[in-house]
Formats: sequence, structure tokens, C-alpha cells
Amino acid sequence: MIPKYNLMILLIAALLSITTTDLMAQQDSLLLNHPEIFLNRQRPPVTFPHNRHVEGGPSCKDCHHQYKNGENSLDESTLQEGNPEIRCSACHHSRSGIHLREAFHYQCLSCHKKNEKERKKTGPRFCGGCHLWN
Amino acid sequence: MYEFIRGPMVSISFMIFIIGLLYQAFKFFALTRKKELIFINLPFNPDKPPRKQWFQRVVEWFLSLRKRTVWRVHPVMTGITCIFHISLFITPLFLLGHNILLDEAWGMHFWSFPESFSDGLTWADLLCGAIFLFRRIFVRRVRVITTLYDYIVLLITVAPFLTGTFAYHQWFEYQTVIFLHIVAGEVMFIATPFTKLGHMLFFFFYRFFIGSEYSFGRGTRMW
Ligand code: HEC
Ligand code: HEC
Ligand code: HEC
Ligand code: HEC
Ligand code: HEM
Repeated sequence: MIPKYNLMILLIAALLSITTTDLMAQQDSLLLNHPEIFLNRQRPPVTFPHNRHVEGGPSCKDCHHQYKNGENSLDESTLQEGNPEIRCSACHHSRSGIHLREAFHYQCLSCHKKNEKERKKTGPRFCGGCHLWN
Repeated sequence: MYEFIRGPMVSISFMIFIIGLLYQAFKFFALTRKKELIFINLPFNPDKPPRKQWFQRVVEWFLSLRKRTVWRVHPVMTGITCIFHISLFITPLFLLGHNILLDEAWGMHFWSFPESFSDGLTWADLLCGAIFLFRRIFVRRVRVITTLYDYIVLLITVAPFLTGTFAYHQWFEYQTVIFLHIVAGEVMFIATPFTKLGHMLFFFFYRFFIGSEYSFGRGTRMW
């Protein structure tokens, strides 16, 4: 009797842990989609697994920045969910020196390329790896 | 190996392409030399160079197409060939995907077509390639002068377009397709100077420098 219950509890716990980790993973993936800047979209929006980019490796300031006198003076405590000022599109848009498309491409592609060269874990380097038609 | 093909090999194959073509050009000028004109290629009389504005000459040239060129004899085939060659050059040059990678690698890039337009050009190119293939298989007078070499060269030219569309539409497994696409592009670069694809360069040499009934200019060089 007791072993059966134990098994059931174990099963339920296992199922729950799968669903919760799945939910958390989904939360930590950001959908990068800026239709207000890319008026005539050519490519589908990009799912960016933020969590996997933070786990071991780069610091927040490798990607998030606020330049003052050529130095990244970003206060990391401002990196809060929902803060509009940390969105890349707050500073990179159609009228900025580095357009939003280039801001993403330069940052994402150069790191993935560098990691591939150094034979580390890396992400997509070609269009279809990030822009997935579904 | 995999990283090498997707990385440095792209630049290496491009260097082979450029240096190979320069070598072929050098060889052409070393093997030919200027000779006295034996025949005069009407309508360009060398004693009296035509003193006309360039646009007048262009208009005359276009009008003359009506009566003397291959446009008149085989208009359909010539049209297909023209579309094929134009899209062969402009599609990869003004392709957004190529230009983004070029910008990333060298910090420079060309202006790009909208991707749907590039896709249309690619399909046009593939259609022309298919017509060339069927012509070689089914038209007897073409078949008798066709060898395996001709099929291979046709494949080399069409392969980057075929794999490119598959990559763009993400048909099949993307990572494999894009790898094949890069290999196909590199093969085309490397093969061009050393196969009959070298007509990319020699077309102009023959037509402008060699004296014959096909020259556009006053050909003065001979073997
Ligand atoms: C690999 C690059 C990278 C690293 C490393 C990184 N981020 Fe991000 N982060 C991004 C990008 C890209 C966005 C999306 C910004 C946008 O939508 O404009 C983002 C968005 C965010 C957001 C906003 C999420 C929202 O939904 O509003 C927060 C908060 C954030 N990051 C915090 C952090 C913190 C804290 C760290 C360090 C532990 C960090 N990030 C490290 C690239 C990175
Ligand atoms: C507070 C404004 C601001 C925000 C937010 C911002 N940037 Fe920038 N970014 C700048 C400025 C300013 C420069 C320097 C521009 C220049 O040199 O002309 C810059 C430069 C860059 C560059 C050029 C290389 C470098 O790092 O110097 C890249 C790539 C880039 N940003 C990507 C991003 C991405 C991706 C995000 C979002 C995660 C982001 N930026 C968020 C202001 C911002
Ligand atoms: C600082 C380096 C760095 C930057 C910047 C970076 N990435 Fe990555 N990316 C990585 C690494 C490392 C991995 C491999 C993570 C892993 O496998 O756990 C990765 C993996 C990925 C993956 C694949 C995840 C998977 O499921 O295999 C995607 C998609 C991705 N990155 C998108 C992006 C996008 C979009 C950006 C720009 C907003 C970006 N990356 C910027 C380092 C970076
Ligand atoms: C590492 C991931 C990554 C790769 C690889 C990548 N992109 Fe992007 N791209 C992005 C992100 C992120 C955006 C911003 C999307 C948004 O915010 O809406 C973007 C935006 C764009 C846009 C502007 C939005 C639109 O739909 O018009 C175009 C066009 C584009 N990418 C084309 C390409 C092409 C072509 C390639 C192949 C050379 C490519 N990208 C490779 C991440 C990537
Ligand atoms: C002469 C050689 C090449 C030709 C003729 C060529 C042609 C093409 C064509 C026709 C497309 C598809 C366009 C479309 O259907 O929209 C394409 C896409 C592409 N090519 Fe090439 N290509 C060549 C070489 C290369 C090389 C060497 C690379 C590698 C670095 C490369 C990378 C790409 C990428 C990343 C795409 C986009 C795929 C996507 O949209 O996901 N190409 N190319």
C-alpha cells in the first residue's frame, strides 16, 4: 500500500517539476519583436533564450550598456524586468547611428562567431538559426 | 573542418577566384600579341573612327540587333540566357543575407534588394537552369555536342541557387542545407577561373580584343 502511494507521489512530483521548469524556461525566453521599428518586416521575430545567455559566462554588461565618455557606466540595479530604458530599442532605432537591426546583429553574431572560433559553446551564425519561419 | 569550411575557406576560395582570373588574364595577354589588321570589321572602319556621341552609337547598336545578331536568329534562347546571366550576378551581390554577413566580416556591404525580390530572381535563375538542362537532354543538335563536363559545369552554377532557396525557405534541415550552400558557393568560386566558366572573363576578351567576325570593337590581337 505505502510503496504504491510513494510511487504515485514521486510520479506527480516528477510531472510537476517538468511543467514548472518548462514554464520558467518559457518566461526566460524573450521574444524580440519590434514591429514599430521594422515597418515592413522581412523576417520572423527572434526567440532569445535570455536565461541560457546568463548561465555561467558573460556578465550583464557584456550586452547591456549605457555609454558615458566611451565607458560602459550602466548601473546593473536598473536591469529590472519592465524597465523601458534598458530595452535596446530605447537607444537604437531608425534614427540612431547604429540601427536596431545592426545593434542586434553585431552583438549576437559577433559573440556567436567568436565562440565558434574559440571552439566554445555557441549560438546560431546564419539567418535561419534565429529567424525561424513556422 | 566544419568550422573551417564555414569560416576561412570562404575567403580562401574568393582569393582563388580573383587570383585565378588575374592569372588567366595575364596568360591571355602573354599568348596573344597585336597584329596588323588583316580584315576590316565593318561597320567600324579603323581609318575613319566614327565621331558620334556614345548614346547615338548605343541606339544604332540596338537598332542593328534587328537584322544581324543572334537576337534575331534565336530570340527565345537569347532572352533566357540574358535573364540567367543577369540574375546570376545581381542576386548574390545584392542579397540581404550575404550583405549582413559581409558587413559582419569585413565591415562593408552592398545595398540589398528586398528578400522577396531576391527570391523571385533565384526562381527565375533556377527555371533558366532547368531549361538549359532539358535542352541538353532533349534537343538532338545540342545533345550530340554535350559531354559530362557540360552537366557538371551547369550543376556547379545552379547548386548555390538551389541550396540558397532551400536555406531561405528553411526546407529540410537548415544547418545541413546552409553548409551545403556555402560549399556550393566555394566550389563555384574555385571552379570559375579553371573551367569554361572562365568565359565570365574571356567573353569580353574575345569580343573586344580578338579580331573576328564576332568582335564588338576593333579586335587587334591574335594568337
Ligand atoms: C547575451 C547578451 C545578454 C546578457 C549577457 C544579458 N542580457 Fe539581459 N537582455 C539582453 C537582450 C538582447 C534583451 C532584450 C532587450 C530588448 O528587448 O530590447 C535583454 C533584456 C533584459 C531585461 C528586460 C526583460 C523584460 O522583459 O523587460 C532584463 C531585466 C535583463 N535583460 C537583465 C539582465 C541581467 C540582470 C543580466 C546579467 C545577469 C543580463 N540581462 C545579461 C541581452 C543580454
Ligand atoms: C542607453 C542607451 C542604449 C541602450 C539601452 C543600448 N545601447 Fe547599444 N549603444 C548605445 C550607444 C550610445 C552606443 C555607441 C554608439 C556609437 O558609438 O556611435 C551603442 C553601441 C552599440 C553597439 C556597437 C558596439 C559596441 O558595443 O560599442 C552595439 C552592437 C549595440 N550598441 C547593441 C545594443 C544592444 C543589443 C542593446 C540591448 C541589449 C543595446 N545596444 C542597448 C546606446 C545604447
Ligand atoms: C556574449 C556572447 C553572446 C551574445 C552577445 C549572444 N549570444 Fe546567443 N549564445 C551564446 C552562447 C554561448 C550560446 C550557447 C548556449 C548554450 O548552448 O547553452 C548561445 C546560444 C544562442 C541560441 C541557441 C540556443 C539553443 O537553444 O541552442 C540562440 C537562439 C541565441 N544564442 C540567440 C542570440 C541572440 C538573438 C542574441 C542577440 C540578442 C545573442 N544570442 C547574443 C552566446 C552569446
Ligand atoms: C543570432 C541571431 C540572428 C541571426 C543569426 C540573424 N539575425 Fe536578423 N535579427 C535578429 C534579431 C534579434 C533581430 C531583431 C528582431 C526584432 O526585434 O523584431 C533581427 C532583425 C532582422 C531584420 C529586421 C527585421 C525584419 O524582419 O525586417 C532583418 C531583415 C534580418 N534580421 C535579417 C537577417 C538575415 C538576412 C540574416 C542572415 C544573414 C539574419 N538576420 C541573421 C537576430 C539574428
Ligand atoms: C557564388 C556563390 C554564391 C551564390 C551564387 C549564392 C546565391 C545565393 C542565393 C540564390 C540565395 C537564396 C536567395 C533566396 O532564395 O532568397 C543565397 C542565400 C544565402 N547565402 Fe549564398 N550564394 C553564394 C555563396 C555564399 C557563400 C560563400 C556564403 C557563406 C558565407 C553564403 C551564405 C548565404 C546565406 C547565409 C544565405 C541566406 C540563407 C537564409 O536566408 O537563411 N552564400 N545565396
